[in-house]
Amino acid sequence: MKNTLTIARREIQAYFVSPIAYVVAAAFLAIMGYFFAMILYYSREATMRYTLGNMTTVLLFVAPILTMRLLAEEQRMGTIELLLTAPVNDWEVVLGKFLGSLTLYACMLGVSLYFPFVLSIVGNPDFGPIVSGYLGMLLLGGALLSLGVLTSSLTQNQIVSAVLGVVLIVLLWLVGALGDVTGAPLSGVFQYLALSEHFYDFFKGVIDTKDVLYYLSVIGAALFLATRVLETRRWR
Amino acid sequence: MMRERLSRWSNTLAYAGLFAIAAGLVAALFMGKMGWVPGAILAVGAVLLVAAALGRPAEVRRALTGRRARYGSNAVAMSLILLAILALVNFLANRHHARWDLTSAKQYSLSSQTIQILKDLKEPIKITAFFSPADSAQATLKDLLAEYTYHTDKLSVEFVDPDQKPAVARQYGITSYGTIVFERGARRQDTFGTDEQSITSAILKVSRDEQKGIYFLTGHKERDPEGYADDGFSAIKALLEKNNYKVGTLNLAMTSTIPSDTAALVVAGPQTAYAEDERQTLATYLNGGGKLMVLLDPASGVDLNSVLETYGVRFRNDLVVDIYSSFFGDPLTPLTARYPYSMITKDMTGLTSFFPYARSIERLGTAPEGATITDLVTTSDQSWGETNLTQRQVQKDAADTPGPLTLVAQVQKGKTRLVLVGDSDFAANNVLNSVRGAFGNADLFVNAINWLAEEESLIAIGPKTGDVRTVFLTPSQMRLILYSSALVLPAMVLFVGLLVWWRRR
Repeated sequence: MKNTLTIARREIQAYFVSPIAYVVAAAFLAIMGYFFAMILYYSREATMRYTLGNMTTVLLFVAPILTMRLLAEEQRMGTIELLLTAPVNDWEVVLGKFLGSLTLYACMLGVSLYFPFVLSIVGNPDFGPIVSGYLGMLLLGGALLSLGVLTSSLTQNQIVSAVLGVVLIVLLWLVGALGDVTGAPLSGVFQYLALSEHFYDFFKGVIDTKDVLYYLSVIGAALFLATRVLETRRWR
Repeated sequence: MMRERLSRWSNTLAYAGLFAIAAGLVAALFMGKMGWVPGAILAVGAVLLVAAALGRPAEVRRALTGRRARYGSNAVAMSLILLAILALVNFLANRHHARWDLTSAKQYSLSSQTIQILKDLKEPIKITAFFSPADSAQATLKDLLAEYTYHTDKLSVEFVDPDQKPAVARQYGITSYGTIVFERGARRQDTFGTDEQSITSAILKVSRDEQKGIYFLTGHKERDPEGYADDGFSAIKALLEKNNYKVGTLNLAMTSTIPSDTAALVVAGPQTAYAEDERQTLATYLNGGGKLMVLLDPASGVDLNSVLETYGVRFRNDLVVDIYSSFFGDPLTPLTARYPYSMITKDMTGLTSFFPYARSIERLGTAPEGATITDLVTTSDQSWGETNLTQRQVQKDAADTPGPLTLVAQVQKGKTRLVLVGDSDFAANNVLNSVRGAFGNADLFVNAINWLAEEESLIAIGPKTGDVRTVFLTPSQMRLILYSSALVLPAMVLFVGLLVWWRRR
């Protein structure tokens, strides 16, 4: 665990000195701010529900950009061999990288708390749904980042990693529609598998253990697979 | 010799084999099933692959038993095991899960009554909601029904856009947006309300086994619930059946026994007078807590006032004239949207209804002990009740009753319930079929029957106030929010990034 945290800290430092992280964060916040202001203007409702709902689509593209460098760059530079031969487990490397990106994302969400803060000044928002909404954003983001870590483990090229990430996420996002074609009973399975089917409740103000577990499962599965992929370097 | 040739062509054979297998799978995908054509292509591919493998036996053996194969299959097996565990955990968690409603109004928490009713459901119920996607009520209903389905697996929900799937809407006989149909087997129950009270009541009604009977009296040229002609009541019968009632007829001249499953009797526009015995049967039925709906047209020569006066109401012998608010300018067809509050009219705000050739209803001096009389539909202040039905020129005379006049009234006395309507044309086939859902006539009839059958308060769930937190902003506040959110905040982040980059340079 100590190793994991060391790797995470190293990644966070790398993020905060690179301009890319700031550009991505600024773009994310600019889009969110625009959604927020426009939705407030048209709906006149003190809620974050619709803003967060719209941001999920943006997140789909932001997450792979945040993670594209993580393992791909190490493989291109050959530094991954150093990491893998160091006295750390492969899973500690993967988890550390993931936690690094998750921390950056959490910081972005943290800055975006400015929007509910504005709501609390000009109106009287219900804070329950805001809390659950942000929890949902964190879990969804975590799932997307972990999928990004997985695709980053597959290639040495950052751009390929990002594109693969978007493709994988979009497929998992829309897999629920397959259910409409196959019909019951498979439709339920496909719908359950879809990333997009599990955040509505968070945004409306309801936390359900099964949605929490779903996102944690995606994170677990993606990181596990990424570890297996890294492992192949030992015997390939 | 053979082997040498095979080994030389091994690569080509392998590629051809893989290509054939891919083609076979694509063919199967397009045909939607595994027919013999894709099957044959797949078989060819398999043969080619085997041939390729035979050409290089040593390599194949190494690939199957070598170090890479061992590690590789190990990694695949571990991944499959993990995925299987996750699938199992998620499957279990999906069946046993907990939910927390964080909204301060507990908007998404169903009442304990509803939860109990859902737990007691024995048979599957199918809910089909006909909404236009632009309707905001659809989103609200979706949220609510999602909560219902979390408590039971007996409910299945489908939203249908009647413009996208007109055939489905026609099949269900849907005439207006916002209709929600509940089905259990052949039983059906329609509702329009999108609140918990309406949904739970509809579930209760459709899951009930016995059907309540609505009996139309016959024998005096009343409106016929089987009649498909313009003046028939078959449209009303269909509506009542959609609301899970059994509709029948009853001739009081043949029997004085009211069927035991009777929820309400309907006297629908008789044209010949009832005999003394029949009126006596009605009076006895009412006295014992009966439910009766009386639709009586002007100048029909039928007098039921002797029965009704016990309850403080009677039909006036007049013809309602309303030149200010009438259907397409016909002063003898009053059109009104005036519904004093009652259980029958509470959901009819904004709906107009009209009554071709109607008479008005009169309250007698003081209401009898224990009786509450409520006007349900009234005409405009400028209307009047014309008492001289033979005069040529229609005008307001001193003998006429000044408006507003009561067209529909309800009476409740103990368990006895009465609804009086001074018209029977308003619910006839030609009216209901020509105006469809645009007017409130059908709703009025069905709501009245629901009230008579004591279906209005199957379950009492306090309405949840839609917890909308409105924000009032001045234009300058709005601009400030827009600029600070979409420009200043991201710019500040960029600025910090620039500082960091500068310092590292």
